[in-house]
Formats: sequence, structure tokens, C-alpha cells
Amino acid sequence: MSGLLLGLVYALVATGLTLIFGVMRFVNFAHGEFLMVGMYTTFFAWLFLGLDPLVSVPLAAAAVAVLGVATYLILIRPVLHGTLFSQTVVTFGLLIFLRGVAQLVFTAQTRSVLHPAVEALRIELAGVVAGGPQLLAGLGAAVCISVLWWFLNRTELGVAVRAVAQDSAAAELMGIDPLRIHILTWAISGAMVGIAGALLMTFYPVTPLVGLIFSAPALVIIALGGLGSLAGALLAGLLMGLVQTMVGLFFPAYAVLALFLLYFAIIQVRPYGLANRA
Amino acid sequence: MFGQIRHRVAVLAVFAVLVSACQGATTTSSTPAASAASSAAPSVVSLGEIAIGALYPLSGANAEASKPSRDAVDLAVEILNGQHPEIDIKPLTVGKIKLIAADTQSNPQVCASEVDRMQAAGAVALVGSYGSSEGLSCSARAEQVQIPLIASSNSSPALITRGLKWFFHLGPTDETFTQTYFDWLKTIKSTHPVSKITNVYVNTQFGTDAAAAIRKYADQNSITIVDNIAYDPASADLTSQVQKLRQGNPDAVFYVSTGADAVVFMRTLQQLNYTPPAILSYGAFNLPSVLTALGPLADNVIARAAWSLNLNDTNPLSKQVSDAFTKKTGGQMAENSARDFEGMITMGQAIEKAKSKIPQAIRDALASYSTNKTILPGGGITFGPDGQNQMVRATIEQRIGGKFVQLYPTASTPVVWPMPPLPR
Repeated sequence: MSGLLLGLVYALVATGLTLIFGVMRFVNFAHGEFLMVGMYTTFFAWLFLGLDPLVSVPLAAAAVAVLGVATYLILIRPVLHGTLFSQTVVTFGLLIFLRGVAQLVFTAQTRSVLHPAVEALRIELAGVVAGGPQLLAGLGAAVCISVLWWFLNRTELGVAVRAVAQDSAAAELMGIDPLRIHILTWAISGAMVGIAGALLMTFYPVTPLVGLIFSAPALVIIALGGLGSLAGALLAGLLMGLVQTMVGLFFPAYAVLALFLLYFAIIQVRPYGLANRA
Repeated sequence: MFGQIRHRVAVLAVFAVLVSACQGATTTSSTPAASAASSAAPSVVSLGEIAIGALYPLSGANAEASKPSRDAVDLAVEILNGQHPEIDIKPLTVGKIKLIAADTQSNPQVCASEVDRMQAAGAVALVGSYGSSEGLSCSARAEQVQIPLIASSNSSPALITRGLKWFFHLGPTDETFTQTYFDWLKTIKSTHPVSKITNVYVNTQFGTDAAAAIRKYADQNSITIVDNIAYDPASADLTSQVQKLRQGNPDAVFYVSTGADAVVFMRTLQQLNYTPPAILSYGAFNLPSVLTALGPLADNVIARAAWSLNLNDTNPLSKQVSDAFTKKTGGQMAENSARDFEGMITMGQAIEKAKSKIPQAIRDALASYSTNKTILPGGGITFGPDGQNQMVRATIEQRIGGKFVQLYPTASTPVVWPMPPLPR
């Protein structure tokens, strides 16, 4: 059960990443640092305003959504039609920048929320134990991914996002403004990872380096699931959570290594990921 | 022809005199013999500014952990430069220390390259390196370029087994820490017998070396290791590791961690409703920010330490330094800051003894250095042929009610064992 819950959180972190890639064919290497911003927002909301992480979910979502939109308008838009190299350098530079700023402003201290509301909650079924924070993070991730799926598949705006993802020029001819869709995509991506940050703060500490811990699995998840595929990210996230937990039970030192081994094995038979075909 | 040769010899001789005069401008005594001679005379040596490189991670994974160490080194330099007459440590008479900060970025390769940069910047000696892997790489580089280095707060036993001549290690290694743990376990054997333990450790140089020492001493003491559970410090989740720990049902857990991973571990124990009888920790539980992040979850954890606040009760110098540290930083001195403070003081005193800025003279002064005036337990500092401080000792503490109390070598309070269930 803990593997499934971890997988859902991985999937939620990866969702924003795969959404941006799906719409713009662009990998945001600073996505883990967006998660860090969401976590710090939640932590300081708790420290200064006394807000429980669950109450801070909208705040963290809004903060990282704004960061996402600002990133798009200031850094991404100028290089959107540039070379792959310049696109990579921009977000990689942003990664270093955000991490450095966090270290400078917040220092490298380990910070965590003491006694979140869900701390005392625990579910035990047939000997399987799930902690309240992990359970809520998993459920929250499942709800967010479901809402995003509904938005993309059942609303007019969502269809517009998918239209731009499939063919930006054709979508523009149909009266859809790609710029607005791009801004919306970065806002949604930021909000998703902001929510993930708030949910993680119920049980995970934040440091300026926390993005690294989640961004590496997130990158593997979007590649394993199939670049740009929401269902693929969910499937790959669950799979990776399960594998990490099961391997951790028998070979604890190799739990993270197993994630990458799994990816290397799967691309031998599904080079475009689980949800995509050539 | 002979006239030409005489002329060339004369030019070379003048050149040699000029070179030695230039050296003399920066160093009063250029050889150990000269320094010995000068130490016999009343001290009028003036070395001017003495540049020492401080190798600490200002960024990266260990930046947080090493911050108190950097503050302690700054305090030591202030004392050596005569800014703290209230502290019973003689300031230098031969010159003023100028500290040059290097950022090792928590990266062993960078640490090694910073050795070269420090030397090029004029440093005549080095202090620091934080993690064990950093210590291993930069001490090897210091040996190659022949500049003396004192490391204090890293603890891998591998640091002192390489026959290095320019490297000195002041604090305990994990061998010393582990031996102290097992010595203590013997003293409480009648009330708290331990026959099986589990080894949980972070999969780094520090973790694997500490785990190896634990295995060695467990074997020597006929204690069974139920499980060796290593984990990646980049793990987002430690549920499976904690479940495996619980299955083994050990009498005590030896837990080696570095920072934020300790918070994840303790919270996972709490969530899975499992409290081991005792947690004997290495690493993270000595970090103030980890203790703050854990709050009451850190209570009753046992920690080994190279220095303890309890020493202030018996060592006046320790109290003076500890108070000055608190006044300077607002924080409390801890084992890492105490070790690194002593490392800088030792380097300063060695330079005072050498009366020279020549690295070879400083190295020789360190090799023969001996003092019984220290804030560390053990009561003195003397380096052995392997560069390790021969008088080093460790203490065992337990966190009770939000502060550490000493359990060994002298107990301020009875040990809380078994641990009460972790607070919900």
C-alpha cells in the first residue's frame, strides 16, 4: 500500500512535467525546484500564519502557478522556438538559480512541519499499515490527477489545450490562442506541483536540495509513461512507487537504483513509453 | 674565461641572496632548525599575515551541517588574533591569522581542487573538510602538494590508514565512536542486555564505514546483527526499510544518517507505530536543525558525540569557549563545532611553535605537537604516526526533554531504555 501511495505522489509531481512536454515539447528541468517552492510556501505558511499544510494547499498551488507563468513569460517564451540546447540551458539554469536562492534566503537547514493535522491518523487493514499523511497525499494526488484528466478531456478549454498539443498552428487557425494555452499550461503545471509540495510537507522535510529527490524519479516517470501522456505518468508513477517499495523491502540499498533499472528494461520493449506507440 | 665564470658565479650568488632575502620578507625562519633556534631566543618573530585555507561546504548537501563548524573556526581565529582576552587561550605572538574561505560544495572533487586554489592564494596550511569523502580526497591532494591539513569533524576510519604525512585528524573516527558505544553497552549489560541489533545506515562513505565498524565490534562482543539495512540518501520513502527493521525485532538499532533522511526515518517509525527499544545514532542527531525539525520525535534517541555540553561542568575552558560561541552565533556549541574549533586552535598553536610560515615547518610542528589544554574529552592532543589524535575520546548522550544529557563515560542521569512509544 505504501508503494501505491508513494507512486501516486510521484505521479502528481510528474503530471505537470508531462503536461508541459505534451503541449510544448519542452522539458522543465527546474520542475523539482518548483516542488521545493511549494514546500517552502507551505512551511512558512505554517510557521508564520499557523496554517496546516492541508489548508495551505491552495496557497502553495497559487504560488507555484504564478512562478510557472512568470517562468514561461520571462524565460521560456524567448527560447520556445530556439535550439534544444538553449531550451535545456534555460531551465537547467533556473534549477541552479532557484536552488541557490533557496540556500541563500532560507539557508540549507532541514525544515519540517511539526504535528500536521493528519499526523495521528493511521489506517490498518489486514496487517497493512498506512500513515495518515501518506494516505492523504496519495488520495490528494489521485483526486488532482482525476480532475486534470476531466479538465483535459471533458471541458472546452481542456480540448483547446489538447488541440495546441497536437498541432499548434492548426489550433491557431481554429481561433485558439497558443500563447494563452501555454500560459494556462504552465499555471496548471505549477499548481499541480505546488499541491504536491503542500501534501508532501505533511510528512517530508524541505531543504534546498529536496527537488533532486523527486525530480529524478519524475523525469523517469514521464519517459517511462510516454512523454506527454497523463495516463502513462499515472501508470509509471504507480509502477515506480511499487518497485521502489518492494525492492526496498529485500534490497534496501538498491531501491532507487531499481527505478532506473526498470526504466532501462522497459524501453527495450516499449521505447516510446508505456502509453505511447511508435 | 675564468673571469667570465667568476662573473657568472657572482651574479648567481647575488641572485641567491636576493631570493633568500625575498623569502625572509615573508618568513622569518625558513627551516625547523632555524625555528628551533628562534624559539630559544625571546620571541621577536613577526610573520605578518598568516593565510590559512578553510575547506568547508558553503553549498550542497553538507552546507547546513557545516555552518556551526565554520562559525567555530571563525571564533578560533578571533581568539588566536587576540580578540577574546576572556578566554584562556594564548593569542599568537608571531602574526595574525587570515582565513581564506573555500567552498567545497559538498563535493570531494571540488574539495581536492580547492586545495590547489588555496595554495595558489597564499595559504600556508589548511583546516577543514566536512564529509568523510571530502576528507579523503582533499587530504590526498594536500599530501601531493605538501601543505599541512587538519580535519576534525569527519570520521571515516579510512582517513587515517593511508600513511599520509601532511594530514592530521583531530576528532574520533567511527572506530572510536563505535568502540565507545560497545564499551558503554558492557557497563549496562546487567540491566539492558543486548544480544541482537539491526544496522540501519545511509549508503555513503560515512554510512558504510560506520556500519563496517559496527559489524566489527558487534562480532567482537558476540552480538548478532539481525539485518544490515542500507538506504539511498535520495530515497523519497523509507517505509520498506522500517518494515524490514520491525520484522527483525532487534534489542537496539544502530542508525547512521546524515540530515533530512533522519527526519523521514523517524516519521516513518511514527507512522508505522513502531518504536525500537533503543536507537543508537551516528550523524544527523547531532545537527541542531534536524533536532528542531523532529521536535519531540528526537527524544530518547541516543547519540555518540565528540564533545558534550556536560563537559562545561568539569572543563572551565570548554565553558568559556562554549559561552563565547553562543554569544557570537546565538546557537549552542555542539560536537562538530567543538572539534573544528579545536582544529583551528591546534593549527594556530603549531604555527606559533614553528615560528614560520613554511608548510614543512608547520607540518613538523604538528607532528610533534602535544597539549593537555583542550575543550575535547580525552584531555589532550597528540598526533600519532598515522596523523590521528592519540588522546581522542567520545561521549554517549541521550536526548531527554529536548536536551542532551551524558550517559557515558559518566552518567548524568539513568538511561531511558526501552524508549517509550514515539509521540503521536
